Amino acid sequence: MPSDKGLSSKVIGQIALMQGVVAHLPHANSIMSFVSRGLRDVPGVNDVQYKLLFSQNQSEATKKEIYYSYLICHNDLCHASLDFDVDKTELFLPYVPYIKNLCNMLAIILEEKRQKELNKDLMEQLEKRVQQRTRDLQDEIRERRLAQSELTRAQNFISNIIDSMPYVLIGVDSAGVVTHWNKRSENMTGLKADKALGRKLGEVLPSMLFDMEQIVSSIHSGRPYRKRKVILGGGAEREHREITIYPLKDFDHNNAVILIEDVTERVKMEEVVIQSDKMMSLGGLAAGMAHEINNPLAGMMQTAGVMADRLKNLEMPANQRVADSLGLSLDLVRQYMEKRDILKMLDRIQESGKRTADIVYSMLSFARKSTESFQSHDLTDLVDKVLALAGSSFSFKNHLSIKDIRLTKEYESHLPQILCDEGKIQQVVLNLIKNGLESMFEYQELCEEKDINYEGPSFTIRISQEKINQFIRLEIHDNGPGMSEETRKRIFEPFYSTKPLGKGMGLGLSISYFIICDHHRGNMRVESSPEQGTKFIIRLPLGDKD
Amino acid sequence: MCEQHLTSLGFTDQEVPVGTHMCLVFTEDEERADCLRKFLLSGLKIKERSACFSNHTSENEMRSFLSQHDITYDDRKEKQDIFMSGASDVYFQDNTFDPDRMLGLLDHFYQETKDLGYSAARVIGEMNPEIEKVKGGERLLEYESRVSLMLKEKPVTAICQYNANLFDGATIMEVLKVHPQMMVNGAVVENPFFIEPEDYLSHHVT
Repeated sequence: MPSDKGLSSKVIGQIALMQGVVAHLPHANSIMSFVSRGLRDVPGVNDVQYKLLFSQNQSEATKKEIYYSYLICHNDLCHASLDFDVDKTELFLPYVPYIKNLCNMLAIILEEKRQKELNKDLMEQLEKRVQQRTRDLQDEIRERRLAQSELTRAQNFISNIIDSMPYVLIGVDSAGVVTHWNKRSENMTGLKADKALGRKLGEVLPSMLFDMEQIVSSIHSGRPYRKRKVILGGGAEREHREITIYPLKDFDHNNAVILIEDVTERVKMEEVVIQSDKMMSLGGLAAGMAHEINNPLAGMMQTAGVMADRLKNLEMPANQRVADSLGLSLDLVRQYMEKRDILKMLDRIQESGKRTADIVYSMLSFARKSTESFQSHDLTDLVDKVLALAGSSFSFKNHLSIKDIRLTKEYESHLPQILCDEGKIQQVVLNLIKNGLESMFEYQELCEEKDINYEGPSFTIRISQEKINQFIRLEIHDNGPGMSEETRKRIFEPFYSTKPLGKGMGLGLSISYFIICDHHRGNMRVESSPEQGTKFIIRLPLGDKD
Repeated sequence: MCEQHLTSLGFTDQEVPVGTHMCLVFTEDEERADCLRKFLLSGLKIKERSACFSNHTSENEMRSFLSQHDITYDDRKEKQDIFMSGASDVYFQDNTFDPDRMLGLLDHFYQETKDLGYSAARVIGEMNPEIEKVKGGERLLEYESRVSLMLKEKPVTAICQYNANLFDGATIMEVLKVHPQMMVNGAVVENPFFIEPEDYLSHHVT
């Protein structure tokens, strides 16, 4: 219904309703199409078109100079224009203020929508970036976890390797603070890793094993340092260590790894090999010499025997016939011989020759090797027989015998038999028992003279099986005076003896060595040091003799 | 025209005459669903027979909603208090939009409601943009105008939901012209764009 001013309340209501509805429409195109369609009902209007401008410059939009064109602008930003095709201006013009008001409101709504869209775009972009970053982080975390897991596995693997190595392995920094401590280190020192790590090396490791100055020097020079055969303890229990310092360079940190290897067995084996080589060489030489000496010696002894016969036996026809032809009295010749001790000299030549022959015979045994007499024997039986024989045969100064010492036998049960020459093995054992008894009794006498506390002679005899190497092991351990390192190294050499001249030829242990090592393909060694007793170790193989 | 009596829509405090034909333009689905649920709940409470055509609100969803108000959906469905169906299934049978068939359904629903003794009938339905593609879709405004005409004699309270995100502004404006009432800012208003069906049909329908 038209008002006094020519305005229709219905049209005013329509414009007002549009203002209420447009806020609920989703976007500029929807809003403008809704409004332009609605404004066609304004009196005088033939058609209404809209354009979305999105111009930053209001003045440019107005340059179009379209008649009854209304720009929908918020501040300097124009969102759209409404272009009216008006055929009855007088009917249209009264509604212009309402239309302008609608345009102002549209400007605000469109700006809000634009801001919302911008915010929505920004939020979407932000959301996408957050999601991408989240995915990246998840990937990164996954990769890091994987890497960490791999690292842990590798560390455990390396730790296991380091712990299972048969070496003491210690890591230190340049200040000498322990950074690594493996299982062997724990076993050697009795100190757990958590107690050793972070402490100074000198607090956790025996000082005899390392030289801090050398470690620092090695770290700074970058050159490895090796120290061999450090001896710990003494006597038969002496141990050997090989210590190596490896400098490490890790970026800015200078560290070192100290590797300590127990080379006691290796050193012993090296000694055995050296001893064996030396003994084989000496044995060969001795046997060769004996063989060369044997023939002239036989000639000498035979000649000396003939000479004795011709000078002593007066009844021999040949002697009588030659004396008669020369007009000599055999009785006077014999008196001369006796007065000049020539006959005694001949006896001494024969005695010396016999003794020399014994030596030569012994020396020839170095080369005498035969398996014909090898039979299966229980080593414990052989040893027990020797001990029984020693009890009845040997008597030393002051009538001492094996019955006067403490004897401990530690025989492993159910030992297999070995193939051996019974007589030769008994010869070896008897020789060791006899030597041991002699030295212990002499040592006992010495201790009594010098008032040294001595618990008295004792033997410990152990027989066991080395299952891994398939050897039977015989240990004869006395608590006598022991021997120096020099003596220990030469004890098996032919003609080497610690006894006074004339008390022994120095061949007993050499022959024993050859019987065990050469004839029976076993090995024999001695562990001893002064005042620590002596232990002979004989190992005989269980396999067949060929 | 029947004697008017007022009814509650559920989603507004205002009461409207039974037989109101209202357009509800929405942009958020929760707004649509909220109005639909409250409209149906309100009808069940005041014993009006209700029908709902929606592609987006299922029977399960409604069952759950009504149970929160101590109403058992299946019992009420059994009693024919409520009827739900997909909008496309109802509007676009055989991929065709047929205003005559739809008006026949509405007429039948009204008559049946009356015969069963209900105080009134109400219908809520959402229109889908599928209408612009199916055969007969161009007759949407004719249909809406004829609904307005029919409701004058056979008052069924009808709410038509239109998604502003799926229809352009011009279409929304045209739709407003065939609905006598509409919701603006939560209030039911007389639609100043409304064209009486007699005028609309005579000018726009050949």
